[in-house]
Amino acid sequence: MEDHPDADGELTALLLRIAQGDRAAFASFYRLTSPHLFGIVLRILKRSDLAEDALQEICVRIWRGAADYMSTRGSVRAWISSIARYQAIDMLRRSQSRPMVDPEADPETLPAGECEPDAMVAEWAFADLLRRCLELLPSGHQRMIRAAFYDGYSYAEVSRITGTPLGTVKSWIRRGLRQLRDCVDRDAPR
Amino acid sequence: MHRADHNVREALAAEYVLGVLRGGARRRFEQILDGDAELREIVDRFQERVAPMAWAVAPVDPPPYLFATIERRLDSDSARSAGIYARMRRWRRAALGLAAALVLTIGSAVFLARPPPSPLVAVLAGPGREAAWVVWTRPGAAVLNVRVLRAIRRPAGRSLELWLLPKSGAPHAVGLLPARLGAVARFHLGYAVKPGVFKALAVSLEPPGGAPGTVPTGPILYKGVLAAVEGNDGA
Repeated sequence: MEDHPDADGELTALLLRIAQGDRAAFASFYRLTSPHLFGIVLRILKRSDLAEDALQEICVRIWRGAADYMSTRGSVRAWISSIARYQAIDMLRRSQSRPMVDPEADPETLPAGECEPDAMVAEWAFADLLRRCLELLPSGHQRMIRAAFYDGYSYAEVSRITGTPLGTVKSWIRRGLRQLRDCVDRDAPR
Repeated sequence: MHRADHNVREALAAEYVLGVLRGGARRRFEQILDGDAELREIVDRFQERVAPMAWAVAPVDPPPYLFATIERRLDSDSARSAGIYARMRRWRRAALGLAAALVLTIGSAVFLARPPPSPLVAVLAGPGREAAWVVWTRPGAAVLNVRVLRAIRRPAGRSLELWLLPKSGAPHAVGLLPARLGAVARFHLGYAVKPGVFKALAVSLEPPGGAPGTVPTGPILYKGVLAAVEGNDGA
């Protein structure tokens, strides 16, 4: 979907109708969001069959959760992208043969669903801030956090693909997360 | 709560959102999250922070046949109850089975027990038609629910005040609106929002704390019209 200022508004209006059981609204919502959601889960699961299963589960969760969502804080896209990521992470147990490639080691072989950090949606108040805060981290920390976030790699997997001891990975990622939070909280508009 | 405990909770929440909290630890965290409103807020805040990153992943079209499969899942799911509107629909089916109408009193309004009407919704937009808030309520209810649709720029030291406009007479002040993306607010009015009486909403720019008197003093920046949501009853 285009990233224009009305994007979240349009999705919210559709969710209100979805909360009433409106299937036509759901079809529109699917058309607008499923490519992003599918891209997210495909990047983590790295298998189309599992990604398709994941997208089904995600849709059922959105369908069931629309009414409750309306009374909670948070943008629609934060809500659904979290559902997508957690669904894919929960399904990783089923993915025995997940190719493990450090995408930042060889940018030419990015699997389907590669991300462009600079493509972060400008309209989110925090988007620029988040990017700047990420870039303040040492490059090794950044790379690990990206591997965990975009590819759903566990601490052990990050350790394996980067050739860094597990203890170091945990400490770098935890420190990186704390610095990110502090940086974003410090400068975030209230 | 101790500072140290709070830091541990924040750290775990970040690992949960990032995805590195796994297996039993992840499941336990989700169980705790279910009943812990403060932890839920920490997680929600962090999810909101990283949402731009998540949405930056390049979109990939799912295969066309997948939607039919999903629709079949939703067909069987619609039979279940989920959400307040499904409960209202069940109540409606039960009410239609009654031979006589019951009279209920809710607040200061008197209702006949009829099928619950569709919610009223207004999208508040500015002159460039950028949607800023969505407002909704049930007709005759004495509340207005609001949620922010995008980060709203507001001059420092000013507030944004919501007004409900009756067909005739002065505007009614509702309250000060939040401006952060995804924020929600609920305003309790001392009167029912009857669709025949109230139709329009407006947002004015006011000093901190809102208009000093009972009418807007600053420019009207956003407007919207309350209308019933058209929706086919999918259940």
